[in-house]
Order: sequence, then structure tokens, then C-alpha cells
Amino acid sequence: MSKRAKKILGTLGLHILIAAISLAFAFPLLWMFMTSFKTPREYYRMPPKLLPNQLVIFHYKEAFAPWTINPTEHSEATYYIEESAGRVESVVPNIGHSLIIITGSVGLALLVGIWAAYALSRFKFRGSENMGIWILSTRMMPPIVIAIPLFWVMRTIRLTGTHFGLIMIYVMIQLPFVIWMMKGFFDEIPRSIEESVLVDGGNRATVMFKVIIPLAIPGIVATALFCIFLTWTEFLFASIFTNSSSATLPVVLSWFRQDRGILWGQMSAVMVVALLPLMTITMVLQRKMIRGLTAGAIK
Amino acid sequence: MRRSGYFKKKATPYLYMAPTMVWLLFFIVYPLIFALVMAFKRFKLERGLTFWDMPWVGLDNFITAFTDVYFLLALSKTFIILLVAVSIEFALGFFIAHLLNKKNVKADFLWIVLILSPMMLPLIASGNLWRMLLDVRWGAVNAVVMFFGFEAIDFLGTAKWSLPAVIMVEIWQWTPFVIITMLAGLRSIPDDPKQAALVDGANKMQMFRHIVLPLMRGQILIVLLIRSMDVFKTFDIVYALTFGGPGQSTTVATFYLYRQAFTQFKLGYGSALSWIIFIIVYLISFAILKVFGSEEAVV
Repeated sequence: MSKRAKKILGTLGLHILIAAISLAFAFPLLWMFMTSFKTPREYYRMPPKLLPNQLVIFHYKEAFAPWTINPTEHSEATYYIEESAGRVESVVPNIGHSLIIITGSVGLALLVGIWAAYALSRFKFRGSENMGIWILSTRMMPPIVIAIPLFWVMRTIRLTGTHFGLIMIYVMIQLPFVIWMMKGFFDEIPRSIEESVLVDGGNRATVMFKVIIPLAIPGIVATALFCIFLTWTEFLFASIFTNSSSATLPVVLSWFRQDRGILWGQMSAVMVVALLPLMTITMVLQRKMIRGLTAGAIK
Repeated sequence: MRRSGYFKKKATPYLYMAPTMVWLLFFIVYPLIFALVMAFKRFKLERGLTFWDMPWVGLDNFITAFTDVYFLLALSKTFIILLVAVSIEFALGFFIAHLLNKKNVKADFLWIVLILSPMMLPLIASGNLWRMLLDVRWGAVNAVVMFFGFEAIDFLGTAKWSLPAVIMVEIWQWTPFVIITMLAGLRSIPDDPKQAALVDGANKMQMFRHIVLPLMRGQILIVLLIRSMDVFKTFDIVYALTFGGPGQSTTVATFYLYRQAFTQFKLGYGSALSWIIFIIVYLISFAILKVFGSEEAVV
């Protein structure tokens, strides 16, 4: 065999291997996506088929707009699961809770954290190194350690089950990421710009609002998106600090365990919708995402 | 005048740091200390009972913890996941990153997006998804098992298979993180030392051992550190996939602690357990830093 043919075969083999690996990782998600469009008759088929004979959007209606379902459709799609009858609940309010909590916590975390990031990026003050390291190291701590005392405190001041309580806790989770990521973005902005403003008689606040923040907008967006990513998926604190009137989306996903039997179609539909924002964010962020995920590991 | 100006300049960074520090002091330092105090009390969750009504019990909670068979069992499960899952993730991730880094790989962006897709799923959703895939009667995985002529395996219903199932889901969920971090590291290795080594007649193994590995030390450290710390946070997947069962077979440390604190409401005992886990995590991180770490890598 010629050298050239060998090389082509090698490249081909490599691509087949990589494609197989990629598909192995993506396949469960594809399965979930397809299940959300299958009738129960189809997803209870053994052996199962990836592509069903009939695609239905019933499960999306069931999860997001149960009031639009007409009775005949209902009996058709819930062919195998009687227990789902009368248990259909919309997850739209829960998405609302998630959005309120995300907006509140990400906004507040940026508002608080940006100043600290700026201080760590621009000033060398007594204890600056240690403070920076300490802030990053809080990521090391297993969150359950502080969940118990916070539960007691929040219960005493009657903040369990409220949006506000969870927002405050999420700010705490996001702060180290905000500070670490924003410090990196601030470091990339040359000091000369703000120095010239300071020489012209501007104070630090002018520098911050007129120079630094406008220049760091892409960084702020990336940081905010990363924080949204963290908050949208957070379950441990959400399960402790919410009740049925403030449950976020991950909490609803956990209900599919017992309360709602195995409504696979409906569960898949909710999960597909839970996945979409994160997929968009990952596409947008790409490299910056790694920066957030590995935050605090290297200086 | 001058004095106040000087003070202002000195105080500015502290002023910027203040909101963050106050927030973290209240939501991290205070709960940590409070948890330690709670660990020495017997906490009952009853209406009208305040902190001062809880009796001090000295070291009782800690003594109970080290004689609590179920807690020790849960710890051992966590260590099994730590050893098995993290080493497989590491080897697999390094290998796949190496494949993707080859010069003749086309459309690498497509493969990376596919491989990263598990990371976009909320952990609680991936637990749900795999509960569906691993189902003994209708699961896709069992369809494959049966296709090869074996008996269907009850992954989630038998103690023998449940822990391997959890480990498998962990690997599926987290290998992408290892891949992307390693790939970033591999791509940042300059060509010169490789060329020089080739000229000197080094073979592939030597090149890997003496050039790639030392230059990748930062990434290796990040991956090992973050993944080891995260294993002790394993909670969402177990919650959705097996809920710690069958029996105690997949009750990992964090899950056991959660059950003790938030379903049996033994807050004092839970606090003691959480401090024990905290110290273990700290020791492991310290050990990893000692073994793989260098001067410039901190936290």
C-alpha cells in the first residue's frame, strides 16, 4: 500500500473514532429529544426505536399549556398511564420563579462583585492577595456544609420558601465566579486609559462608569451568562429553600421522581426546555466557559 | 487636606471590597462557624424552640458519626466514586483530547459541541434521563444489552449494579469537562520543544513523558482538583437516578448528610457530618496540591 493511501486510511479511521465518541456523548440527549415527541405507546416499546412512527407535541402541551389539551387527545397520549390523568400541571409558573431568582441574583452579584474585581485588578493593598485567594477558595467548600446553618437562620427570619432568600444565597454562590472572571477581563483593559481620565480630574466613580464598564461589557455579558448557567441548574439549595409556591425548574425536575410517576414524555419535554438556554449559552461562551468552570484553580 | 486625600486613596480598595466581604462573611464564614457550634448541640426542629433551647452534647455527634455504619458506608461509596470515576474520566478525557488535537482532524468544532453536550444538561435532568435509559423494561441501554443476547440488567433496582450505574453517569457527565480543559492545555503547548525533541530522536512515549506532561501540569492539576472536590458534592445525580438506593447502595456522603439533616431534621448531627466532610475535602485538595502542585498554582 502506498504511503498516501495509508495516510488517507489513517485519517478516515481517526474520524470514524472521533465521530463514534462524539455520538456516544450526544446520544442520550438525542434520545431525550426524541422521547419528548413520542406517544407513550412508542416509548414503552421494546426494543425501542429512536425515530417513532408518529411525532406528537402532546407532552409539551401537557407540561407548558395543559389548558389547551382537548379530552380526546388526552386519552390517546396517556394510553398507558392512568395516573397522569388529573395530575397535569403546568411548569410555566416554575420557569417564572427560576427567572425571577436568576434575574435578581445575577444582577445583585454583578453589582456587588464588580467593585471587588476592580479593586483586585487595579489596586495593590495590604491583604489584597490573601483576600483574592480566600474568595476563590470558597468554591472548594462543599455547599452542603453551609446549607444546614443557613436553613436554620433562614427559617428563623422566615425567608425559606421566598424568592428573596434564595436570591441572597445564589449571590453568595456566584460572587467568587463574578470576581474571578471580571478580574480577568479588567486585567485586559490597559491602565493608560483610566490614568488619563484620572489626570484630567475625574474620580474613580467616573472611571468606573464612563470607562471601565463600557469597555468590559463583553466580559460582563460572559460573566452574567455563566452565572445564569450556574443558577438555572442549581438544585441543592433550591430543594432546601423553596416550597411548592416558589419551586424552581430543577426542583420540578426532581418531582418527576415520585410524585408524577414515570411520565417520560412530559419529563423529557421539560428537560428539553431546561436544556435550551444552557445550550445557547454554551454556544455563545465557548472558551470563556472554561474560564468560569476552572475559576479558582490557577492564579 | 492632604491627609484626608491620602486616607481616601488608601481606603478606596477596601471600600470596593467591603460589600463582597460582608456578603461572604455573612453567607459563608458565619454559617461555617455556626455549623461548628451546632455540631456540639442536639438540634430539634420544633416550633417555638430557639437556638438557646438546644442542649449541648459535647462531642457526642462526632462520636456517633464515627460509629455510624451508614455514614462510613456512604463515605466509602464516595471514595469509590472518587477513585474509579475520576481516574476513568481523567484517562478517557486525556485520550479524547489527544485525538481531537491531532493535526488532520477536520470539523473539530462540530465534534467538540457534540462532546460538550452532556455539560449543558442540568445534573438533576441527567439523573432523570439516565433513569429512563437504564430502565429494566423499556430502557435503551437494556435494548442494547438484549440485542447482544444477554439478560436485561436491572441497573437501578439491584445493589450490585446501582453504584456502577451512578459511576457511569458521572463519567458521561464530567468527561467532557476533562476533555475541554485538557484540549485547551494541549493546544497551548508550543511547537518548538516538540520539534527539538523530534530532532534529538525522541519517540512518542518519551515526548509525552518529558514534554507534554510537564507542560500540561497546570491543566492536570485543575482537573484533578476540581473533579475531586466535585465528587464530594455528588448529590443531584444520585437524587434523580437512584435516590440513594436500592437499600444504601448508592447513598453517597452528601446524600446521606442531606437525608439526615433535611428529612430527619437532625441538624446538629448533620452539621457534625458536614464538618467531617469539609475537613476530608480540604485534606484531599491539600494532598493533590502537594503531589501535583507547583509554586505558581494556588488555591
